[in-house]
Amino acid sequence: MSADPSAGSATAVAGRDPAPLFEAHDLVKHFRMRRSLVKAVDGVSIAIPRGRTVGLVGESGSGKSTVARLALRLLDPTAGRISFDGVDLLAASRRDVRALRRRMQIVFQDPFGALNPRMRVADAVGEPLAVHRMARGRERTDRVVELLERVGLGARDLHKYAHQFSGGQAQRIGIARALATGPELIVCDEAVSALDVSVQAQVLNLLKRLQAELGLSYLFIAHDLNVVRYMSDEVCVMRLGEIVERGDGDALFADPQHPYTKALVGAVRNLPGRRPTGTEQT
Amino acid sequence: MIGYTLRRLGYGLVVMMLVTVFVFVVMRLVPGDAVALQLQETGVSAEEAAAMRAQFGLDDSVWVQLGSWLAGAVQGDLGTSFYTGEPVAELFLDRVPVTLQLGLLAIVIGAVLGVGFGIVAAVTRGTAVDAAVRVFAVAFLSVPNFVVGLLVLTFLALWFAWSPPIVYAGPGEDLVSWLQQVAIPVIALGTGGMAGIARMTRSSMLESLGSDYIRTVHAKGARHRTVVFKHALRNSTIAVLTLLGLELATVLGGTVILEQMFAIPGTGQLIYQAVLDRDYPVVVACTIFYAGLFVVTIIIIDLLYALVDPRIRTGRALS
Amino acid sequence: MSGPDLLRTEPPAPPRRSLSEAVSALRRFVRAQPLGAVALVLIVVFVLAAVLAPWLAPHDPLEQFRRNILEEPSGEFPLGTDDLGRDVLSRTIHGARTSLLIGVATTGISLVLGTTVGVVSGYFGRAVDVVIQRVMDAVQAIPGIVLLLFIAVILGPSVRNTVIALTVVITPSFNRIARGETLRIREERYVEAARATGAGTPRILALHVLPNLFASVFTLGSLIFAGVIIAESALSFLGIGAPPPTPSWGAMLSEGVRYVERAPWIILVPAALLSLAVFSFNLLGDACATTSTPACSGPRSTGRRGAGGRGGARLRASRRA
Repeated sequence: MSADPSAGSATAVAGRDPAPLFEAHDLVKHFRMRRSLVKAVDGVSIAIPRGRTVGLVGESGSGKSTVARLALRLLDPTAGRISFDGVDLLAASRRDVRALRRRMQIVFQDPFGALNPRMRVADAVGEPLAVHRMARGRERTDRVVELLERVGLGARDLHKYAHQFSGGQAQRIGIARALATGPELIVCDEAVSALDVSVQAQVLNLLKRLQAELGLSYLFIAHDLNVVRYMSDEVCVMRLGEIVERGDGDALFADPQHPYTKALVGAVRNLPGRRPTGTEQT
Repeated sequence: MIGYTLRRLGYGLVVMMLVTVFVFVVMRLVPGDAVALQLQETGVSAEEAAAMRAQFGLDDSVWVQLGSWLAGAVQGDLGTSFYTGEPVAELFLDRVPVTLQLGLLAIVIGAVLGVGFGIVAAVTRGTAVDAAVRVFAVAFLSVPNFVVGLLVLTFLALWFAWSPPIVYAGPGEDLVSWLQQVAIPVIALGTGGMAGIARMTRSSMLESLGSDYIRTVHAKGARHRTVVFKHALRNSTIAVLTLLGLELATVLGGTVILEQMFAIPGTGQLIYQAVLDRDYPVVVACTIFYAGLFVVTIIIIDLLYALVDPRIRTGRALS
Repeated sequence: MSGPDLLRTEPPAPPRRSLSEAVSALRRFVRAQPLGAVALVLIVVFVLAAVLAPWLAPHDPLEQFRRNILEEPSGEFPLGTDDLGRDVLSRTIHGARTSLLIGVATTGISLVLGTTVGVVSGYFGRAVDVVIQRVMDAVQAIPGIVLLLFIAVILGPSVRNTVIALTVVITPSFNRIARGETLRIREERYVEAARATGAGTPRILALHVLPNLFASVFTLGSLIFAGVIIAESALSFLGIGAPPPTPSWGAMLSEGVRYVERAPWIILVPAALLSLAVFSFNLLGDACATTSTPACSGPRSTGRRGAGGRGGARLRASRRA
């Protein structure tokens, strides 16, 4: 398994499908603060194959969320290339980028923060359809109900507001919204981090089921190693803006090479399958 | 701190420049003929009116007017009154201290009463006293300051046959007479602000009193009264300062009507008379003066903030 | 797969829901803010009186009954007459109308203007923001009455000019609130989510920014309305507002000064009503500011976002009489 974070080899790991759905090469993002330069992302390369999940794990401040936003071009990178289905995202015109937004979506960490408190569920989930003029009136409502049912909610929730739901349900609404335009890639930016542990499992399983049903690709970002491992096919470990190690989930955690990865793994207790080093129990 | 002060001063200067530009641009809205007509209404002949118009430069462009006014102002010449022919600056100088004294006293009284009531309400929280104070506060806020002045004046006259002295004497000359004359306007002006300050003090103190910080102080054994006054009050200071700054505008505005009502020869009376007489140079000078007063006070309050709260000085974003 | 289809006949009808939601919201408001509810009632009375003035007033407010000068309250003239023989009650009711008219016009126009400017300034930021805000600061630096006098002397006394002058004075307050809220909303996650969906700026402004501003702006509007009523009466008291013989509470106050011994009701009635009207709008504004009640702010927010304490105080403090 490759542990080298340099550019080209990222695609080597993908291996299974020839052309990755999403590729980022040497992404760099610098933020200029008042008197200093923050290098949030410093040379990150990722390739996401169709129907697969690439996990991005790291502590706060590692730059993971910035990568999420760069991937969708919610932020413009200082340097680097991004391509989606072969289309250069950075060179694309505004109209093309907008069209591409149909195919890549995001689910945020804060389930309530991501929903407009003044909008009913029907409007929130239906907004992508309205933006891309994909359905109107009755047809739109039907599609929204369909989406809600797919995530485990229903027509009775159409006219409610976000605050009337629990965290887990609100996150499902966010997922329904992300599915509205029929995307191929969904970026999950700490999508379960704000949920109770018991609810986390439900939402994770929902995401897995959706992936199987719809052939979605995920860029799954989190700080919890267990969660990332559960969801991902490939895992990238990020630290201070760089990917320090990447590889197949189980193998990576079983035998971490980079000292940082070792430290991360060592700090987690329940990691089934890990060879005991003598200080920890399985 | 120096940097912050300079920045605030710079900001104040920019605002004052904009105020001056604004004033002259609005002045431009007066059609030249209308000026002449209005002056004629007040008894000036047609030729004199035309001459005054030219003298005041109402026909010139905004920038010329502005420029010449500024050039004069820097030298202390604020124009000449249409009405009395005296230099505006002289009219001003006599009246400014009068208004300042009145305004200052009103703000102080309002602040003292407001904080006092606020403390009472905070300390008796939840009781009828507290509720009474709060309703009282809103009620007071609602009666416009000139109405308060009017009512108190007329009914004192009615029931006690007492009116304040008409001839003005400054606090330096005859303190008793001055106090009598300003008593009602001060009450009228001060009580409007009092209500807001009372409410703000109450909520600030309640927050502080309940906070962990205070509980720690209590735990250390400090006496209740010390706790209340020293610690909780200090934390309320910022909030009260904000309110005072904003009250200022109302108080300054209030001086206009109340000085007229109580025959107090301050700048308020000056601007009101000037408006009635269409005395443009005076109106312009007064408007800019009031704005300047406001901006200076706001800057002083900002500097006080910075002294109290070091975060503001270092420019670290608070929100 | 067919289960939900069988159960689903028609999508639930929104309109009926909105009405019943509004009613229950109102009920919640009354229970949570009894004082606010009282204020609301008073305001409704005030508005009704103003709107129905021509039918409510027993006499023509301008009609002078030369034989009934300075009469005490009686059957024919329930609140007495003034020095020109005009019925005080009728003048008072019509005065409410004047205040309401000017209040609505002024508050309405400034709300639209101030909010637009504030949103543009807050959302687009940078140069636009700096320039607009400095100009607003300059306008606000001039104390209200002074600015009103200044504009009045330029434009001359009339109802239209009063509205113009008042609008200039209070637009900065709406601007400040709208801008502050826009700055906050701009950073909210749901705005980012909308952008990620591909929504353009107009859509974001209309559907995300404006609806979330509404609560604060409405609350301020109530407090501002109170201030406008005060300012209008101050102007007419000084004789530079709505020109005589337009019935106005301020004018009645100034007329009544001379006759306070013989006919104190000429001063008392407008003073009392003025204070009561202002009091009601202040109470309503306060009630909205200290809770995030649905009546004022739409669906109950999750509590993290309540417009309480400081926010409310800032709102209150940002109005000017």
